[in-house]
Amino acid sequence: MQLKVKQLKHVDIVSVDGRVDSMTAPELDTALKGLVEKGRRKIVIDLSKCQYVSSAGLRAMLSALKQVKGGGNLVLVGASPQIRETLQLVGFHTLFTQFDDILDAVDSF
Amino acid sequence: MMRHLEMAAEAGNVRYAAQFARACAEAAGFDDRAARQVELAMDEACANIVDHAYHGSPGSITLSANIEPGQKLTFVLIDRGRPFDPDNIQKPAQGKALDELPVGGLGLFIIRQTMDDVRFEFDIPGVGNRLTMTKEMRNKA
Repeated sequence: MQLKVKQLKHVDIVSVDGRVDSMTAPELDTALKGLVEKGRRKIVIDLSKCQYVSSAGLRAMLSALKQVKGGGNLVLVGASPQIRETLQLVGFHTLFTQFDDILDAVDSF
Repeated sequence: MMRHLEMAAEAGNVRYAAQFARACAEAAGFDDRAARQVELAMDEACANIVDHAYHGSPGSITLSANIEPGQKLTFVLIDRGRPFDPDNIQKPAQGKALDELPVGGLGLFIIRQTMDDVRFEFDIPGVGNRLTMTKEMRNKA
């Protein structure tokens, strides 16, 4: 899995390329925690090149969402059918706002 | 048909077990959605063994699959790590407010939601801990 972090209009976009499971989720967790520790509160996770997320990935995303809420937000872009199903399975689909387009996600802040 | 996989209980191997499970599901004739669920259930089961049974210490997972094409798929996972009480794991508490949501407990919940029968047996003499999980075909051949 590869991560790229860039900024657009004061929003941090974390692009995930690959699979997020118990092996790779710690890297996503570290990247998200790093943003939060710098005081960043507007985060987009771009999942358009991510084929798969297990609960390890969901934990990293939920943990970051908890920390940015109340002033900020963490939203998702381009979640695949598998990822949407997994989010729905654990009831997280109501927690994360989802977008099909990065620019819409950025403009939502 | 039976398939067998033995692997070191390491985070990096979880994906191979998950992909093995998905291949078994496809061989059994499950559709894409069900096969993805089986992949995820196996991922979660193995991740739990790596993280909680062995706590990251060296160990192995023995995985057997019994494929009944058009009927059902049964996996048996054996480890020799620490047992746990599956009834004592907090559920994700859907519908709760964000700050009340526990971060853990998702893996076991996912296994139970995606597989039709899930059974844990612990400290079996000469064997260790055994997880048996089965998925049935909805429209059986």
